[in-house]
Amino acid sequence: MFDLKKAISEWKRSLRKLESFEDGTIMELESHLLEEFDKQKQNGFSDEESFAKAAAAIGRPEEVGGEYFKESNRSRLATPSWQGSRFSPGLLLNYLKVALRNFRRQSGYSLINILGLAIGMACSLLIVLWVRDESGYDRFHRNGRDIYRIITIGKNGNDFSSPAPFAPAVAAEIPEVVAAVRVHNIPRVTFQHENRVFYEENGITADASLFRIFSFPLVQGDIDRAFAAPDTIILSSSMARKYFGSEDPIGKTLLVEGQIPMEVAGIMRDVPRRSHFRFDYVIPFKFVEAHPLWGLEWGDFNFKTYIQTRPQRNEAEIIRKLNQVALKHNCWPVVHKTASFSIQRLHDIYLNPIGPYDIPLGSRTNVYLFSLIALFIVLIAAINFINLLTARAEKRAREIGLRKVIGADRRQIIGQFFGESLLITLLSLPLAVTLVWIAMPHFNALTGKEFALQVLAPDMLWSLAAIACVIGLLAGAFPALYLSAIQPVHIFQKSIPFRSSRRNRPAGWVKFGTLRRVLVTSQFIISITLILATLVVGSQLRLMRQKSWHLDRDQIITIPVKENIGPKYDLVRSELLKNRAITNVAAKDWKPIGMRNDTNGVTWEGKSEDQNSILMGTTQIDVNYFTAMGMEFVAGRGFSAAFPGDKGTAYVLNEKAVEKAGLKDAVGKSFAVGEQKGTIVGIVKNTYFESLRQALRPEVFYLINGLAEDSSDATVFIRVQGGMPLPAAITHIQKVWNSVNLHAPFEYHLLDQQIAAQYGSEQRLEKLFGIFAMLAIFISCMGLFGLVSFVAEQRTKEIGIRKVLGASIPGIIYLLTRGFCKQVLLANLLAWPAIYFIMGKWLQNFAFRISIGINLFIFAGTLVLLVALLTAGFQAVKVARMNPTRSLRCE
Amino acid sequence: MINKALMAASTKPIILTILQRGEDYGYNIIQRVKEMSGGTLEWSDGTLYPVLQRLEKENLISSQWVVSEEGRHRKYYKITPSGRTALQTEMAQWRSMVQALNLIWKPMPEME
Repeated sequence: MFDLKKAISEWKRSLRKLESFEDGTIMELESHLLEEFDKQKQNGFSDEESFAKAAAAIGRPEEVGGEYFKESNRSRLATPSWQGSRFSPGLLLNYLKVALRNFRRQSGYSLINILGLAIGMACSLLIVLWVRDESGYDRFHRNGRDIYRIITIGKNGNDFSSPAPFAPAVAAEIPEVVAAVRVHNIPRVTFQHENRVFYEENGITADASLFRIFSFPLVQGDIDRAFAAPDTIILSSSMARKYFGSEDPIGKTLLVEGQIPMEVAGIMRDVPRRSHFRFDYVIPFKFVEAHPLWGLEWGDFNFKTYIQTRPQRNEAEIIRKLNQVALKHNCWPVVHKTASFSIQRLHDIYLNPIGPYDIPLGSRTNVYLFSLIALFIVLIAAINFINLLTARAEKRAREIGLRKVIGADRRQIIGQFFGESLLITLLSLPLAVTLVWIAMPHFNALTGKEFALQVLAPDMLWSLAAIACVIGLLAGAFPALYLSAIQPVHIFQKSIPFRSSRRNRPAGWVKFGTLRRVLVTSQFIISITLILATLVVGSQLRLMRQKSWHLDRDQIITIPVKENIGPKYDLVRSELLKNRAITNVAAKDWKPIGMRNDTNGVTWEGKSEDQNSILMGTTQIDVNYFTAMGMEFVAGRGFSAAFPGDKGTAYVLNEKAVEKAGLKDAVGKSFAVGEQKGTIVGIVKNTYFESLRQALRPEVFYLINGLAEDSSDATVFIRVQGGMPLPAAITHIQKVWNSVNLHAPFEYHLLDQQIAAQYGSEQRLEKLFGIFAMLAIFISCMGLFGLVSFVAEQRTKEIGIRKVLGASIPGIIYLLTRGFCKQVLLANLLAWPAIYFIMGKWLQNFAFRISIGINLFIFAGTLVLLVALLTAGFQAVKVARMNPTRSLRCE
Repeated sequence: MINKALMAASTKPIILTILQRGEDYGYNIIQRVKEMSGGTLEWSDGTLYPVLQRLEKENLISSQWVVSEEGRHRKYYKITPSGRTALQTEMAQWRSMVQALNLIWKPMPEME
């Protein structure tokens, strides 16, 4: 139903919004409306139609109001407030002058702003560099968009390996696949040319299609010729220089492991740093066919396979065809449905490693995490800016009011404040660049990257400008929008809008005080979150170090079993023991730590059907291993020379293996690895050599059948007594090495360091978190310092009077700081559940993890509270101690 | 159709002429202005009220609120002595303008 009264009052409200309509005018127009309404009713229209026609006849409120405005204003330039005002460029200069004047008058606050923003920008700049670098891997290949890596989706997790015959089969049988290549890493071997001998770590064997699929250009030589024979090699430019200097390397021979001659048939450009797999030399796949180092059947998952597809293809279709090919060739994991093949885009590989042993070390989570941290730090700096600007709003309010009275509209004021904040960010930009320049080497050391500060590179300039603008706009937004809302009338009143009564406040107005409290609290939430994250990562690291294998005082030095170390092991051992510092020497058939094939070919007394899938690691050791490594026994005994019959008949299990096998009173029970039957003689305590990210594996130990020549993965463990000089022991080991070996260069490792190196990414994370947490709290406290100084300055008189009336210094300090303390406490309450949840998720990456205890939270909370109190207190003490006669005299 | 500028210039003499014949309220004045302009007025009704306001400020007309029998508030306008003088001046000006225009246009019969 149409309600005439309501319609009229709404219509009047629309007039009232425009300042030109006074009450009398509105009354007159209303009377006009009613007359016209009556007329239309007489013409036979309904109430609603008549009202609409009458209102239309009077005209739009803006049109009518505009006429009133013209009549009441003499100035031709004046425009009513609901119309945009004309832009006057002359004002720009004035804005700049006002802005600079403000900076000068309040240099302390400006300094806090500029310094905070500079640190924030420097941090985000570094993080932007890092994020860009991390997400830019493998982009240099011309066919990059069409290259995929074949991966295996298995029941026991995913993997990136596939059988050797897969690549040629796929290339021949799937029409969408243009080319395929299989790649295998070559273990560390020595290369020799004349008297130059070096270990080379990064070699691969591959098909010739490697150079057609990927963009690794050859600078010398010919691909087809290089891959025609099994005994040729392609070197990177830098590796060629290392062995041949300025000579022409083509056609020359390198001696591998002192025995196999390889002819240099090509030189390729060094593989770029940002490639998910890097190598210094390539040996043709024919070499692997001639010397079968790895299984080449359909059941042996030993190779990485990459395919290049046609630009038009359907990924799902390719995956289907891959599995079809595997089925056709009886690839047993696919036939038995324990695994299936899939593909991964080349550009996705680096940030999405498959399984724990993938070479790429990137992590998408870290990219997101650090982007978030960059945002946080910028946010903290921006909050300082907002807080200090709104805090001083009372002073600026008069300026804004005056501008408005003279004719500025809200948009101009907003523009002015955005301009000012952009000016501050622009001023802090050079400082930020300087900070980045100072921090760059440390940042490179921390992240393992090689950034150089090239400020003049256009993309760098763009990101700089973008960061500055975003911060400027972000920081300017709050002050601009809030301060521009000040009504000119308020400047004539004693009270300023943010203290005015609720009735006078425009809709949506937030009290500045509340806004500031919210913002300060969020700053502390961020700081506490970062500190807690640092603490959690740190405690997890400590837990992993404690749990990991270590000796209290002694050190273990490991050397690889190279050349004659294996055949002459007994001699080497006795020679080594001649040094006073060396207390024990032992051997093992595998690298000190790292991947070892597990087998399900183990049987024991009472093994049931459903235990067939249990995998156990098998390790062959000599009789001295357990004592040398300080491993303790839970039951039974270890191997020893006193039991010569142990070889081939005795097994030692770790606790985990006993638990998995479900054996009770395991010692004395029968056990077999493959066909080799024997009995369990001892149970050794669980020992953690590998990363605690993975669960501990069940492991079986048995005696090694002598070390063969070149069992290059085997290791000799040399125990050096604590307190004895390590360098002297190493020199002795080297002497022994050189006395038996002719060409293999001496090398050794400290087991402690190798174990610690597994936690490199966690250590980096802890350091980065720590640094960012420190910066976050530093910037927050700078802001806090500014705020407390401001509050103290405002309340100088109040404090003076309080002191005259007998307030004590601690009382005044309490008065000035209690608000901030409350905010820190609130921030703690808000940050704790969030961090508990997030870090709980992170800890799930680890098989062994700490439980996040309340003590961590209390520590972080107290730390932040103390720092905040110290910052606020410093200023508060200064003010509180001031002589009241001075504070009351000012003005 | 009379254009805006001309209309703006002529509203003053038109309103003063209407009020010279007797006092009246806004709605009626505007209806009569519309009649006199032959229904060719481009403006909304509301925009004539600011003109009334201006004439009142210039002391050419005066106004008072009257409550009608139906209880409706109406603002009646009345011409002042200085308004009458102003109207005389306006009339003289407009007449000489019309004369001048007629004088120019007469020798050009093809314009008819």
